[in-house]
This record gives sequence, structure tokens and C-alpha cells, in this order.
Amino acid sequence: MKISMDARSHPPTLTAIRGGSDERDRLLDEWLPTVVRWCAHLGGPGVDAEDAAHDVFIVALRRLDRLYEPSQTAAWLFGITRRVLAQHRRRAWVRRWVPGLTIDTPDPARGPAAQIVGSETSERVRAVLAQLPLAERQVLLLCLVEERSDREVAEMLEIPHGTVKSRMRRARARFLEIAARAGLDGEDA
Amino acid sequence: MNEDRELQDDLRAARLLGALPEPTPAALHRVRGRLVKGPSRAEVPMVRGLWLLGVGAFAGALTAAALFAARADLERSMIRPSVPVARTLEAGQGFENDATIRDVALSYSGTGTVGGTSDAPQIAWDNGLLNVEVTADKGIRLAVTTKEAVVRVIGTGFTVTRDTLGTRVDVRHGRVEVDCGDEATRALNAGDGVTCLPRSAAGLLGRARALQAANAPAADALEALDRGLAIVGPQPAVRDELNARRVSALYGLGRHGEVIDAARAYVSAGGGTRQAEMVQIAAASADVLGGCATAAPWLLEAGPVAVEACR
Repeated sequence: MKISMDARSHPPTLTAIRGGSDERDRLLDEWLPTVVRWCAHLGGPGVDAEDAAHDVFIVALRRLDRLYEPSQTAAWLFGITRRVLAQHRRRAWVRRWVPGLTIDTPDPARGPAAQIVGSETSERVRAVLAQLPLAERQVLLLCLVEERSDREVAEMLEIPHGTVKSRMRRARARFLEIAARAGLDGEDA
Repeated sequence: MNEDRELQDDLRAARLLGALPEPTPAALHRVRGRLVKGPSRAEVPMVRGLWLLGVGAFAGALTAAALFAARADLERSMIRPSVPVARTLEAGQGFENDATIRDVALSYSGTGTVGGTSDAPQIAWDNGLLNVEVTADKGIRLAVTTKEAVVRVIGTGFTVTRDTLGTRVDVRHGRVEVDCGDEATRALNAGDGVTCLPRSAAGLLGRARALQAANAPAADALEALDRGLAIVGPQPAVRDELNARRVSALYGLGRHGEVIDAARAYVSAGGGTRQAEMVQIAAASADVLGGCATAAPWLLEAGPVAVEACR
């Protein structure tokens, strides 16, 4: 489950900025799987990953001309994703606590669990990951799942390089501790 | 010691997180389709949503009435309506000639999900063995997707096996197209088979481990390790394990000169968790190449007892 090298190449972004639906399609090809993965694993309860990913691209395509440095595409898209997910979490909270607001409820059949290929082990790993604070989930996803460098993660999260390392240590320890309590160890996967 | 522990923890956590599911092609297709169509549900104001709901209900009632009135004609003309399919395939359960997907028979021991529609079912296969039989000439456009492969078929029978080695596709009859995500799509006929290798460094490490555990030819494990090293990112634990296993595979192939070079690179890089083992393997290779004298520098690293033993 590693981000493809293509998703880190930048020419599609440049051509998309210049316009043209083909180029925009190509940008979607490059980044849509990554953004849906971010939304599925960082969204939290009640957040529809597909809805959120859709909204991320609505914002991203509208603001594409503001991406001055194409090498920053990952950080730029991740920033949009964080803000969109925060909105969706607020909406989920409102839906949960304000009676009568049910129109915007995500379809449970299309919840994150149904949107991505699942198995018993993967569901258990996902449940473990969901117990971590958002900041720790972010570093685990970006560092260990997508195999990004500390420096790149620091740029994406807008935090110092040293903070990535310390947060990563905490996240890894907590993740393994909860995984062990759930009867999972590194050999299961 | 702490660094070794951290590397081991990194590897364990990476292995576990490697089991996290990926977005399905169907989910990506839905998001893309909505982007083409217009704003999301979330962007539609609540009041407008209520208004639209009322209009939609009225239109639905009208449509239902019209359909009811014309049901006889519809039954004649719509012999085979396409309907959405959503099933979970779990070990121990059957899925033979399901009423929804009438011309597809599945038998399996593993896990996955079925989505898409009745005439274009999409199976996301997670792990284990899956046998598929699609009746020919019924217009069924079936696809099986794993992490490593996409198999597309019109009328055939084939088997998909997914495990730590990758995804294996074997065709019993008919013809399928397999996309391993690396080169051009492969067309397989009856009797043909292909294995799609894992695409991530951690996946290729898993394949090499499985091959070495099964005493498979060392060349196969070496190929997986070299592929993994070619794409490994800044993951010290995975890189460390790939390099260490590569030294073992080279030794198994009797390529002692390369064993010594690879072991030297491993040891001089520092930080590896299998330094002692690499020194021992290098010493053994050096002994094969030139006896104790050649092995001496490595034996010294292993300790004075090893030097004495060689003499």
C-alpha cells in the first residue's frame, strides 16, 4: 500500500494548471486514490470518505491556479484535505446531536468500511488505527503507509522536522500497544 | 540497542499497516463520476435539499405509477435489468449461481467483496483462493481486482489466488485479460497462468520471506529482493531486512564475491539489526573463496574463537 511514484511526479499538475479537461483528468488519476485513502483513514466516525474526497477535489480544482510550486502538490492537497475533513467532522457532530437533521446523513452502505477492500485483519488494523489521536494517525499513514520522508511529512503537516520524529515514536508505540491488546502483531499482516 | 528496537518496531508497525485496505476502483469511479456531474450532497444547502426531496418524492410517485401501468410491457422488454450488487464473500459461505448475478458462479476459500452491477460485477479479492465461472455470451463484464492485479473477463472460467507471494491467475477455459499494473495488459488463454508480484517494497519483502521459508530457488527470492530494493522508500526497517535477506540469497546461489560486497555494504552502512549474521555469512563466503586467510578479517570481527576455529 505505497503511493505510486507517479503520484509524486509533478508534470500533470503543471499541465492541469494550464487548463484542459484531459490534464485535469490526469491529475485526478494521479491523486484520487491517495486523497480517498487519506479521507478513509483520517476522517473519523460519521464522515463519508467519498463525499469528503469529492469536496477536496472541488476545492482543489477551483484553486489550482493558487498552487505556485507544483513540487508542493502533496502538501497543498493534504492541507485542503485536512480542512475539508474538519468541516465534515463538524457536520457529522451536528448530525449526531441536533435532532431532525438527517438529510445529509452518509449512506451507511457506502461508509468507509464499504468503500475499500476489506478483510478481517485489515478491519482489525483499521480499528486499532482509529483509536489513535488524529495527529498520530496522520504521521503513521504518511510515514509508514505512504513511505514519505520525515522532511516531506513535516512540510505536509506544517510542523518541525523533529516533531515528526517524536510524534512518530509516540504513534508507533501506541499503535503497537493497542494492536498487541487486540491480538495483532507484525507477523499477522 | 534502542535503535535496533525502533527498527524492529518500525517493521512490525509497517507490516500491520500494510494490511490496511486500499480504495476500490468502484469507490474511485463514484467520486470521479460525481465530480463530473456537479456539487456534492454536502454542498447542497439543507433547505434546498428538503425542497428537492419533496420534488423527488413526487416525481418518484409519478414514475412508480407510470411503471405500474406499463408493467406488462416492461416485463416483456426488460428481460434482464441490471441491478446493483453488494455482497461480502467470507470463508465457509457459498455463492453459486446467485439470484442477482445469474451467470456467474463463484467458489472460494478466502475473503473479498462483490460490488458493481449484475451485468458488470466487480470482485475485490483480498486473500485466498477464488474460482470464477462466467457463462459465455451473456454479456457479463466481470472484473476481479486484487492489490496486484486486475482481471477482466467475458465468458470463461479461471482461478485467482492471492497470498504473500502475490496474485496468481490461472485460466481453465476461455480468455481473460490481466493487468498487473506494470507492463502492457496480458491476454491469457485456456491453460495459461501468470503471477502478479506485490507492488510495494514491504509486499516484495513478504514474498521473499515466503519463498525463503518454502525453500524455493534462491534466484526467485533474490529477484523479489532486488525489485523491493529498487523501489523501497525511506523505510530503514524494510530496507535493512531486504538487504540482509539479499546477502542470504546470494550465499544460497554460491555468488560468494557478491555476498562479500553486499555484506560489507550492509556492515559499513551501520545501524542494521543483523550485523553479526552478515559477518558470519561473509566469513563463510570468504572461506570458500580463499580459505582462512581470506576469511580472517571477517572472522576477527566475529571474535577470536572464530579465528581459532578456522585454523
